[in-house]
Amino acid sequence: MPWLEAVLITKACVDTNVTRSIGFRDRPLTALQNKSLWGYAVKPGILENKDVWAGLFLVVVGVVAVVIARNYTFGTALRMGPGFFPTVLGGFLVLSGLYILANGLRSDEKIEGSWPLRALIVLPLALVLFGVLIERAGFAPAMLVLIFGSGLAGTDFRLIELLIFSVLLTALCAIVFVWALGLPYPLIAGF
Amino acid sequence: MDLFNNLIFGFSVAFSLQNLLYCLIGVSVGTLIGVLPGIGPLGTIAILMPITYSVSPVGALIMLAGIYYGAQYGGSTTAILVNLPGETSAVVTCIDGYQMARQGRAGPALAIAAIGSFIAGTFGTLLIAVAGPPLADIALKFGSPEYFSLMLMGLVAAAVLAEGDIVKSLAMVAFGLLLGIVGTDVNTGTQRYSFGVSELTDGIGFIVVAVGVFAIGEIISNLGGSEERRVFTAKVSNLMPSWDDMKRSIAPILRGTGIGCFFGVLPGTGPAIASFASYMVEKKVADDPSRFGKGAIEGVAGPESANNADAQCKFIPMLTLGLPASGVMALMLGALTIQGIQPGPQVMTTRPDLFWGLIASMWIGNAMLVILNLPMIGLWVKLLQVPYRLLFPAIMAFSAIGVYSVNNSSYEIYLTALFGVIGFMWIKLGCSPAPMLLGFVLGPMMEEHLRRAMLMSKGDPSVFVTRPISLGFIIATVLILVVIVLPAVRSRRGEIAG
Repeated sequence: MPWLEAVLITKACVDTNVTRSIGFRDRPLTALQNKSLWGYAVKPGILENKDVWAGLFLVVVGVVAVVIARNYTFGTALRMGPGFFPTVLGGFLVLSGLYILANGLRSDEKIEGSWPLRALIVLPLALVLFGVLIERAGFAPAMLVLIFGSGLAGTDFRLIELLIFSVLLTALCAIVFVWALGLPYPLIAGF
Repeated sequence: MDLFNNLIFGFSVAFSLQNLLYCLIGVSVGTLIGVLPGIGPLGTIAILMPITYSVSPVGALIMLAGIYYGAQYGGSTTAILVNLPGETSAVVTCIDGYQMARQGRAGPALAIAAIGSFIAGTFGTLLIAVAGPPLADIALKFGSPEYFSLMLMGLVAAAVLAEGDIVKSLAMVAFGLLLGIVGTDVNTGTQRYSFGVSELTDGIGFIVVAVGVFAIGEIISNLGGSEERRVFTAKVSNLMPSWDDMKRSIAPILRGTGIGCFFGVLPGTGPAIASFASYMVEKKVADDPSRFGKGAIEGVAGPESANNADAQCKFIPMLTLGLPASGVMALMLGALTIQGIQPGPQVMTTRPDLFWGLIASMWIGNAMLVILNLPMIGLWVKLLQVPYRLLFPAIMAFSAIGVYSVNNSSYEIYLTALFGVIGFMWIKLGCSPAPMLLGFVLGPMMEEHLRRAMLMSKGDPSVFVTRPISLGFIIATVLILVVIVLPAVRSRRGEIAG
């Protein structure tokens, strides 16, 4: 299968994650740090361990899926009930989650980069505000709050610039979406 | 000549004033987001999809496809001029393209990239036209067991070949399949995973997931990274490549096209893999491999052709089998479904205007891109100076309008915010969200085919291996898993032993 080999090689080259999982790079180093071959011992860095978290999330989702699916008829092989497919999928999630978790304990790979806590809170909040405002206050205030609010999620915003930008973009969106494309939203509620 | 007549019919559809306009809008938007780092074709197509509701299905698909391959062009422009890959597929182009620009040969590099892409695009278009009908003919004979096995193969291949850890990708597919199940079960009417929320009885909106994960999640992730700023130094003068450049590029362009077409049909392999493979081949066959990395024009011509051919050929499984081979194709499939068209092999016979019109438009779009890109390079580069601090609030605004306009439902906006956080989390934990989207799109169909197949066989699961075509897919699935996973296991074992 020469072509599959070609896929393999190129994939390995393009994708550093695979080079890592195949064991070209970080593995020898971490194995040294662990001082044990399998390194299953819990290490202090577990809170930043990428695969432990990924595995944990998958296991939780899988368990929840299976538990809820118990309320649906499982059915027989001939007549599969609505519970069959979700149960199988949930089971698979649990298994793969456990594998990833175990892998994480062994490889001890850290989550890279910093946590954009500010963006993580501000951006969803801006969206929620948009959802609340567009039904109660109208298109223009919702857009203004959304654009200005999301702008605050970055660390390098300039207040005046952002204000002007929000107003201009809101006006532009009002012209394009409400006026030209005819979306049925009042610019300001009640008008 | 059936093919000839069909192509003429396609061009007659694509050359209507409306469809030309959609094509132009598509490729312009595509180039724009290709040039801008931080927003890719996935997010853009998701955001703009609601706008295409009011457009005819042909127009909608033409426009969305234009965004997709237009982004490949735009990505290479910034790769060559600023050493910044606008899209992942252009990473390879940076190597020699940027070196050429530094040597004052940005013009020929850009021109060869565009010409190569155009030639590749033409071949890709032809290949779809030639291979599409026979493939669809075969697929028309598929029953539920075949479809289930085909989807299984597609999903496994996509997960295994996609970027990132294999097990994680498979888990993401399963997670996507689960998300696809949410809502009313069509067979029994049971509410699944809707938690008594009335908005969830119809399932989670496709746009909600796509925009949440690929637009919002991406922004959060970008804001976490440090923003790189690169200064545009190269001046573009004298676009025409010399005769020598042309002679050197012809063979790489053709080879790149072949490589791109091959990888294009495989599920899960993105254009990045095709362009990387092409670069390796060119380096191997070159008389003087040491020129590579120092501005060899072959290193631009080959990969640029490969990634464009790949992008075009990804449409083959989507249009003929209804099987998405990548995240973008999953979106296209979603767009079709939303337009009320059941994707699959019957599309070609029930909606020939859609199939042939789209193919013809891709060729026209490629021609437009050459014309659009070369003289207007200066304008696109100027756009690079738009700071991200203004770009992302604008993306947020368009995302919100896009999602809200689907059902005028605030609930979907809240869900989008939630999926933004989930998407960010997956990116952060090294789980690629693209396989999740594939699972999400195929989930309901896959379950349906599984149930139907089991009903057909009176509960005997051997139906999947006793029917020859289905057996072929199952064998292929196992083969992909074995060939890709075994070397990894073996090397791990060797490492433990060592």
